Amino acid sequence: MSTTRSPRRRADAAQIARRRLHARRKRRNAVALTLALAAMAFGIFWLIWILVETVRLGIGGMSLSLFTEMTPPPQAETGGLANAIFGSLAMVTLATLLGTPIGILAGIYLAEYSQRSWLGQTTRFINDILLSAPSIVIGLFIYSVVVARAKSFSGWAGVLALALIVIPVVIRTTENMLVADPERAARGRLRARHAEVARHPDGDPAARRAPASSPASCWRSRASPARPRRSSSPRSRTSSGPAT
Amino acid sequence: MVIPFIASVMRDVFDVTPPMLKESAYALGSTTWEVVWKVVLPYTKTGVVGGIMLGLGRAIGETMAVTFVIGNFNQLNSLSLFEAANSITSALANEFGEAAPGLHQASLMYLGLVLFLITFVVLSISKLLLQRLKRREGAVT
Repeated sequence: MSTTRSPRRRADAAQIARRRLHARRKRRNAVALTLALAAMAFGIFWLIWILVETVRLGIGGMSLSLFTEMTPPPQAETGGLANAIFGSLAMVTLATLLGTPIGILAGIYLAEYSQRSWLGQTTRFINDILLSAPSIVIGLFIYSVVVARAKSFSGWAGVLALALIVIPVVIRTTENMLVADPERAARGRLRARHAEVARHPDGDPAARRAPASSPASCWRSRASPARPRRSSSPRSRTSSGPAT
Repeated sequence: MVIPFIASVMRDVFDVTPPMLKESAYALGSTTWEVVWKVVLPYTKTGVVGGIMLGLGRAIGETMAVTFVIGNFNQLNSLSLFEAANSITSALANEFGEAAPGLHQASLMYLGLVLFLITFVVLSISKLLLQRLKRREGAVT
């Protein structure tokens, strides 16, 4: 009798232990989940507080004169912030106009031409450093290079500083977008040239731009040096070297 | 300002874990926490450290939010965090506009150099760690 009972009791004990382990794992999971949710709530809390306070305190001061009138001298009763707002818009527009072409071209270079070369790696590294460089350091740099040389402050100095901040961001984003494009790798295997891959995200460049040229023009070897200058004009595309 | 930054970097880092590893762990009966703690975190260790360094770099370089509230007071007599003080960025932002050419401006410039060196080192370390993670990703999947 006792011989039949003890194995069963042992099995029961094992089952209890297993259940306890299961409960403990479940509990630990719940605790971790709660902590994660609490961390998220902590972050959201500040965000919502900032938004609510901004709207609550700012809604009363909203008026048309804020955007149309100049900043008055101290103690004046009326006036707006038009000059600062205009300044911001002008700065940002010019900096974007200046920074976008450079950034996009550099991004294309990094994504298409130099995935693995040491120049590309170095550029990427430096760009990432520049990407998170403190803005005040960039300000100091522009001050010593532009303002101190020209001996006067200027809007252009501000534009340059902003452009220096914009360019690394554009480079990074452009490169990420191009690299993330799944068809890109396939077209690379079809030996489309780098510039064509970057310029025609959807479809066969040869068929689109030069229907009369031989279909072999899109079969140029990657081994033959693909230079961006060459492929930039459609005329040189047809004349630059035979197909492999 | 560090919270959202680190949060978004961490999301990217955790996404690197191969789904096959995670799904295998779930199939063996792991809880979510166990998957995170025993599969995802060990796999992304270097990336996590790199992300934290990136957040640190962000905090070092942050200017305006600190300048508004720190009080611009040059002292190191007490290390108390409850008194007005100065950081590199706030000293630069507060004083550079009025600095006379000469020693004052030069020393502020030097402060900027020190700041840039610090961020450069921190960012380089984080980049190296993140790169190592990426190399491993290529090796495993």
